[in-house]
Amino acid sequence: MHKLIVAILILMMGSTALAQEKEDVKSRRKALRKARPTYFIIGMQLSKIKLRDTGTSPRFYQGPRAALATSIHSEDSLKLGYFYNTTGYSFLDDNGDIETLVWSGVSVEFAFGDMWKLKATRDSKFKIGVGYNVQSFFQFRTNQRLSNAGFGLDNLISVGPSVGLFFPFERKAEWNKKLGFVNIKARPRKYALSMRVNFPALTISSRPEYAYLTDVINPDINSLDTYSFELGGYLLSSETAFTYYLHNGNALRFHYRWQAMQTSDTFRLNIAQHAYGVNFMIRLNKINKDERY
Amino acid sequence: MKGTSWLLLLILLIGCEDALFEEEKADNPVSNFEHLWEAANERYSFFELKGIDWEEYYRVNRPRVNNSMSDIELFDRLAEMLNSLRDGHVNLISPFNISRFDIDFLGADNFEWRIIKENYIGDDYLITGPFSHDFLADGEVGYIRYSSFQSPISNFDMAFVLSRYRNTKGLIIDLRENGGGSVNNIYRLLNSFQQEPVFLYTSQIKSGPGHEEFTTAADVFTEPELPFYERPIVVLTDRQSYSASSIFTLGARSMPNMTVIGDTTGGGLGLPNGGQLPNGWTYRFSITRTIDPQGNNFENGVPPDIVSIMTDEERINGVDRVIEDAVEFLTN
Repeated sequence: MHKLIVAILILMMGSTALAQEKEDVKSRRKALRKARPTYFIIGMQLSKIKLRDTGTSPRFYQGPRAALATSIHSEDSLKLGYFYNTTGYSFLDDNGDIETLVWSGVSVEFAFGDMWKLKATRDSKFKIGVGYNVQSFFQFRTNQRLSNAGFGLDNLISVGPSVGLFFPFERKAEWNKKLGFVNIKARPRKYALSMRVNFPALTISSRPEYAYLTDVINPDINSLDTYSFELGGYLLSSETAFTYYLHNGNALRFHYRWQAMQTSDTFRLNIAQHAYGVNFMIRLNKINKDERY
Repeated sequence: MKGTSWLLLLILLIGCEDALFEEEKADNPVSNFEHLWEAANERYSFFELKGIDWEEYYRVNRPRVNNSMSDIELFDRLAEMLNSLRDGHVNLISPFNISRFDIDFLGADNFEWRIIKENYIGDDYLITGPFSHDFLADGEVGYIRYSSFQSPISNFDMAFVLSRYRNTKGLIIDLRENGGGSVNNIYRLLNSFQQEPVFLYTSQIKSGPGHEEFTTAADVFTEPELPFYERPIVVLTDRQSYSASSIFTLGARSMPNMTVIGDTTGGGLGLPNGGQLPNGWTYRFSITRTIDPQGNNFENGVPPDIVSIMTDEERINGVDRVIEDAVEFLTN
């Protein structure tokens, strides 16, 4: 009986200690999350788009896309979290020597994900991260020369793993150089170079159905009835970014994003995007002492 | 070193869509011919109805196409193949020519606007939106000319016209030489001619490459809306009443207060969609079908309830036989 009471007491003490430990981990995580440098990013993105919709044409259309880019970016030595959106307008032609057709339209992209930097690489120059990424590309496009097939609503949503490489570096000491009469001075500064590739594990696409007709004789037809929703295809993307940290806690960010996507239905849609962006990062939380110069 | 390897691997994964996407089709006469033949084979709606052996067209025409042909020779060959579909909704469009199947020659000319203006409605007829209209037969009949379904009909247009002719014995809606347009305008008109929903026809869209692979038939009904005109209405048609005009006429045959007088319409009950060839030329052909409540497919022309065709003598004498027959039908 005595032994039983002792065992129960030990168990109770153990579970209390465990609960306490859990609580500690939780509050430590909360503190880390709170302290993690977080930015609101606003910028411009210029892209070159390449599009082929075999439902209407075997030819590739190419042209520019101009977009407004906004995002939330949160990153420290342990983790990266992001959400971004671009909303843009594209104007693509088929580069035909004989005849030029034009697809134009509005497109919207969303992506979010988390990436954890591997413990083994945290102290090395290049840090490697692994995580997940969810992204979506939606576009509404028109091409008046293609009669009733001249409207396309396409949407691809992809979920998958991502890997990243991070290379933060800095100039620790002030740097002075005299070039003739000009005195060049560079203050200590932090920089970061990063690269991320997002792989598609699961992709869902929706686009015009087989007949590719939106103007149908039945006025009661639900417009979604003329669209196909398919599981398959892919949306593969990568991002290379260079961040230049300012002394007031904000930063400038230059990125290059690449995307290649394909639907899986009978008539395939291929889209590739090469995007170049210039962004201003506005720090949202308090700047830690060790971040300052 | 480890980091550098990763960097190299990641760089390899950037910007390589050319390795992922299928190559663009070759642009030569043979590949253009093959592409067009196949697109029609997999999407055109009326091979079975028209008894066209499309494989036979391939066997006959493929040997006549070679990669040393000029653009004009290729165009002629492809146009000839498409015109064998005998369909006004089928075109091949190049920078120098547009192929077409001329529905005008399916029947005699059965309409002369000048005769109507000179001898029936005068030059003081009203133009309300897309409608040219006036009274006939001493005010007993209202005559409404609707020349194109591309012209939108507003609520005001409908309210004004139907109010003006509310006390007539009947209405004439003249769709002769109306080559079609937007399907929406069909319902804008038909919805005002009965207070109860009327089953007009069924509609199907191609859903796969098989010649008879269509979506399940969807029933199309009118959706009555104010204002109403439920007295007898005569719809005038000729061989140039095409596409949306034919669909309207098909619907009119199901409406209890509507009668079709004139010639068989030009047909074109299938809606066309478009595409492009490897060389950049575009094409279009029908990819839907519309069937009447009795199961008839009048793609080649919707027949009238009462046949009425102008003779040359009547034309010379300024008599529109079709209007005369319509007025007699409505007033007697």
